Amino acid sequence: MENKAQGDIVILIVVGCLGMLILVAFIILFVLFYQKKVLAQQNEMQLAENKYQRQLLSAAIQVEEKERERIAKNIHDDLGTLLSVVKLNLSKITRNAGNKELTESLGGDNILLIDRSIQSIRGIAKDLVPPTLVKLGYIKAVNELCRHISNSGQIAISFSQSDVDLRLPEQAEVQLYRLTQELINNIIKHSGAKQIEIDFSRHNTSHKLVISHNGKGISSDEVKELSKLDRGLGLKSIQSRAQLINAAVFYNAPRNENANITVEIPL
Amino acid sequence: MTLGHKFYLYLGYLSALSVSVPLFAGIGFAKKKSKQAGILFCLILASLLSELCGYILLKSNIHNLFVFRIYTLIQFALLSLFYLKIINSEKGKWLIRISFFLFIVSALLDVKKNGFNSIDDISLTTASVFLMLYSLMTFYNILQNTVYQNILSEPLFWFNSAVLIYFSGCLFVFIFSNYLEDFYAKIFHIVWGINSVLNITFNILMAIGFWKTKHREIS
Repeated sequence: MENKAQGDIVILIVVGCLGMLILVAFIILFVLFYQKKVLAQQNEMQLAENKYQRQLLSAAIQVEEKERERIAKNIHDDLGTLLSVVKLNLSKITRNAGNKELTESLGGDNILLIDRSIQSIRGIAKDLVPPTLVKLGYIKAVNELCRHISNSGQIAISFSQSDVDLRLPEQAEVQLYRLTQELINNIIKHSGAKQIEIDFSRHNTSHKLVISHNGKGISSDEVKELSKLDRGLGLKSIQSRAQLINAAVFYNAPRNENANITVEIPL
Repeated sequence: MTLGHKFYLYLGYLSALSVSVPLFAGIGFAKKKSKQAGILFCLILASLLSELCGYILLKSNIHNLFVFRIYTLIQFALLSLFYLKIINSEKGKWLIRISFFLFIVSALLDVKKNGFNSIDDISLTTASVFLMLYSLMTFYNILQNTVYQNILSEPLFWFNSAVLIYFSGCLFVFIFSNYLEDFYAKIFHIVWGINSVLNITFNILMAIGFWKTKHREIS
């Protein structure tokens, strides 16, 4: 009888100990596998993030290359031609130094050509960095941009802001201006909108730029999908400019309301 | 002495000797001597001293259980200190402080109930429960903050596993130890054999932990 009781107690304790050990083994194995799984997921996410960053960088380089090509074309086609004519006129003047009438006529032409060259240089420089942006800031530069677009008569555009004299850091103003330009450009090119409303306001922790329009909108998910493809250079350029100023861009395309794009720039 | 008795006796000796494995690992490999590794090395030293004192007293026919009672106190204090350094959250640190206070209360109750020269089942059980809790908290933190590229090369993983395996495996042995000694003395050595096996496991895992500190800090 006593032997049976002793055996029962030993079995009870051994089973208890084994039960605890099995539970602990399960916990340790769970920690090991869970850790491995999480690490694999993190690595995967890191790879995807790296790929996306590479795409953004590539987009930024492509945009820069396109911009250079455009500037080079403007200089070559416009300024280059004007200066070539000036050069021809000057060599004609040198060859016909005694012909006062021809010299005066060509000199007058040259002055006109040089005036046009100066205007062309101003145009290119304005295209590179609008003087209004440098001198008066983002708000006034966007105001001017809207005025130019409105004057074209193709689309109605309005701009409202909470503080006309607001200035942001120089780098932020340039990037935000380019970003705004690109967003408006995309809306005009792809949405078929007839009306665009831009609002820029200051909040407690951020500045908010909201561009709404009555055309076909795009959602953040669609933007993500497009960014994965080789297309969507403009969208990638917007994203890369936004990253430079730590801004976040949200695309909304509600069914029965105007589509809008919100850019949040932290203070 | 039967063959079975002899087996458990030698298993006990082997368990006592196994403390030399983490001791040499600590001396040989723990080059980056962090505070945490130092605390655990002190624990190994305390374990060695208690085993030595226990053996000497046993051979001199003097009651030696009070030595292990003192060791339990030192063991819990050192492991609590170790986890206090490892666990970063304030709540966790407070839990350890409160647990230590409760452990002291349980140790005093144990002495009052069982006397000084007996197995400290109450304080051992209390210590086991709290140390299992600390160990689980540490694993939870590891899961929450995935900072290790390979967890198997982290010393903390091995130290923590050693604590969890030993104290959870021995929990039932500790709970029933005094009861068995009083009423079923014949089978006590069988049950205590579980403690010996788990102590050997504990020491091997601690040694791996010390070995891993050669290349990595405990964090």
